[in-house]
Amino acid sequence: MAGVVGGEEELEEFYVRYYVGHKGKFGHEFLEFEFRSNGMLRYANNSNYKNDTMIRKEVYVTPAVLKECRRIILESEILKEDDNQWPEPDRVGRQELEIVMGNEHISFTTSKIGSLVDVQSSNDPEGLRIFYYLVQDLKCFVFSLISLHFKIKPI
Amino acid sequence: MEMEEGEVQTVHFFAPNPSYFPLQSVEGWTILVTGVHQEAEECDLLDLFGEVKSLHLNLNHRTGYLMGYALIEYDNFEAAQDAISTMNGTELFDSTISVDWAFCHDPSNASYLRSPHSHRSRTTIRRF
Repeated sequence: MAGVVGGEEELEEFYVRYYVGHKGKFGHEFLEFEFRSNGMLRYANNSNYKNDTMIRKEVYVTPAVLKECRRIILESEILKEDDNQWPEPDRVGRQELEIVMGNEHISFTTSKIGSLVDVQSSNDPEGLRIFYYLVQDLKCFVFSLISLHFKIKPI
Repeated sequence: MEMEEGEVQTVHFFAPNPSYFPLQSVEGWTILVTGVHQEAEECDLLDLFGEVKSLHLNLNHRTGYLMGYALIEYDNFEAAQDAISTMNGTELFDSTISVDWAFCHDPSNASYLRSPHSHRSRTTIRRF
């Protein structure tokens, strides 16, 4: 029931989830976050290195934050892309990005991307570059939100 | 009027979109500024937003310019609320900025909306 009083725009369906992780000698290590249309932001970071423990945080963000998140995604033009030429997830790791905006529901799955060199040498450098930058911009947004609200260093 | 720590006070908060109730962060109150001109600098925001506790002004990884948003933390509720009510809709380098709270209580639990003047406010303002 978001937007009981003042909202029109937040009624549109909106969901974003990003996951990056791998299974290795330190177990399943991953970072995951999601935004839901009711404003819930969930963040999880599991690193077992040096006995680090899982961090899980949840907080509701305002419609203004969701709107900014939506803007970042729309301006990246990721919705025009397709992951079928992108590198498959491998032993090094896996990334997933899932976006629901209005009638669009799109998911991307690929390997970890170390740098732009990996992007350039792929079969779809233009599409993968959009993904590569968008993921960094979204991570940055989420890390700022989580670190300001909970006073933890997200990575 | 001084209040004992932990005493609950009804808060009449201002928000551009009053469909939610702002939520306190661990060490302060956080607001979001959007529509920030991509060539603005930290000092421009600090000039406008006064005594901030922290400022995150993130860059667009592709262009190297600003993303267009700033997250600002204030020590206390009043300062954050003042920033929202005075800065929302103003101009910075020919770009209109929007200023709003960043975090809120669960919007599905909207008992405060039905009785805005009740003393069931979940926000505790701590002074001193």
